[in-house]
Amino acid sequence: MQNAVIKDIFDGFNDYLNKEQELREQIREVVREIDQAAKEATIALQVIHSSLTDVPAACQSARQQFEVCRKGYQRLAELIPEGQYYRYNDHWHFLTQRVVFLVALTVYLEKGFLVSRDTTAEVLGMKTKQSDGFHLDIEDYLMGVLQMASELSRYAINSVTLGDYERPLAISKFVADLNSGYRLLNLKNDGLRKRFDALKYDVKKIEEIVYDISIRGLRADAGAGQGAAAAQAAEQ
Amino acid sequence: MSYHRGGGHRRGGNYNRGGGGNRHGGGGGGGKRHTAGPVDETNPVVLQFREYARELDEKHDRYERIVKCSRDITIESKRIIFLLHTVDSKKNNQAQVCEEAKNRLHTLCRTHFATIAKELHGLDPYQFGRAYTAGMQEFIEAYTFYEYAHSQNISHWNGLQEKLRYKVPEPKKVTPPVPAAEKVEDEQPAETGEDPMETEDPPVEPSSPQKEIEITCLLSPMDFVLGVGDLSGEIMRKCINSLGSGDVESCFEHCRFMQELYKGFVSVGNPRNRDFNQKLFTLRQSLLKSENVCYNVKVRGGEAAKWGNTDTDGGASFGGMPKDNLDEDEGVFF
Repeated sequence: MQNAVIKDIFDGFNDYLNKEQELREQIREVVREIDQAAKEATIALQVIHSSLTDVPAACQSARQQFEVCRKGYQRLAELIPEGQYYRYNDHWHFLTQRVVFLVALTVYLEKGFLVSRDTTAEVLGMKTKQSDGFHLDIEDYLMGVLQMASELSRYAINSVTLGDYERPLAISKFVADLNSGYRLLNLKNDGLRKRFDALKYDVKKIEEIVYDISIRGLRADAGAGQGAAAAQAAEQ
Repeated sequence: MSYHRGGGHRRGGNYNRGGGGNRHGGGGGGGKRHTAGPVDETNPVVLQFREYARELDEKHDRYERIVKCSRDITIESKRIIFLLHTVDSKKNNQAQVCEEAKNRLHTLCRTHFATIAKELHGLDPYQFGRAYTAGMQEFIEAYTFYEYAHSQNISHWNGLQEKLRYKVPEPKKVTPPVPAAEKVEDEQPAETGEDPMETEDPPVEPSSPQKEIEITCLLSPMDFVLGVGDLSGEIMRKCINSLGSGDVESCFEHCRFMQELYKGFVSVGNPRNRDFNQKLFTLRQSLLKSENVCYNVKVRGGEAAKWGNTDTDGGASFGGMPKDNLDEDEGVFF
């Protein structure tokens, strides 16, 4: 004799799994589109490492890709049932971090400051608060900003190569600010903490660039000898 | 990026501890270089991060509180399971033990689960799912085991989810919530037509005019099924216990029930859960053991199976004193 209840339980469970599976497939499709746009934006922004003059144009084309991302996220928002964001967010976790990185980098290149979480969410057509619906998770945002710091350390090197000696100073100041910002957080021993630990290498690299510039008197306001320059570098 | 990850992971510990000291004004080893002295409070980045820090802390604190509840639930559930193992056909204490187990299960619903439900109110329950899944599974094991001890059957998860729905007067007031469904005795075996997706509705937002809100502690079907997987271990133990106490007929019933469970588990396709296959494997082991018991009873009669047994696989475990196994939690001693 078949036990009716057990059969019922497992039939229901199979049903539940199948529905979840279907939704996940739909999500994957949208995520792929956003991923493509993010890739285009990444490629566009790579120009900053080889040319100083093309930066505004690169930001412009990156922004066009953010528009595509925005549409993708809106479609995602429609797919995800209310209150189940975290059930499926493993599909767009890493992607969103990369998109945040791109947005933060673009805003930094354009304006020179750190884009806030609210603004990032707005650019991507997401909400900030969980209760408002499809939102930008705070950890994703923080991870994305950390990725930007790594990119900026590379940018600092290349801008020296391209003959811009001022930029590393600004970047150094900016990344030092970021570092002190992250120090305010009580991080658990998770991915974010590990990624934050890498920030110090970026800071170090940028400081070495600033030091190299200062010690050779390449700074525009290079007024003093080695001692003063080193002290200035430390101040940053 | 992998390079950074690796490096940061190895040497990160000290750095962070240094940073921790720094945060409270002390000079930490790695931190000195950049943030000598107090943080510049007017810096816009710092201002932003103050806000982020508050939000992260709140999230982590909530997570920890839920984990604590989950631990308490686990402990109490294990005790209830232990209690239910004392049901003995000879002592005729089934009704009494079940009554006590039922009361204790209800207390759990009313206290710890209500606390979790309150913590989750208005939030995405899946965000904190990992914090209480262990307690939930243990509770489901205890609950279904109670049902099994009481009526030789288990009920659908919809019924249990109903018990984890509470009406509370108003947020911020501390009043013990009352379970929406109080009945246990005549548990309806599964609302057949019900859509299983319904059980995963998000917590209902405050809407009713009488300032009464409904909060839910989400029971995910996956947790339920995994809990039922654990149940199989308990039934196996019960099967062996009843052999030891000479209640031979019930061995066959337990065994048949486990076969049904196994059939259900096998019917699940693509569970997307790492634990699931582990559970299936354990369930199979338990099932083989109880089938072996039944086999022995059949060939040698109840007495023989109790004492003499030279079989390799399950033999050793039910040849000994079955009561010794009581303090082991999972049925994984092979």
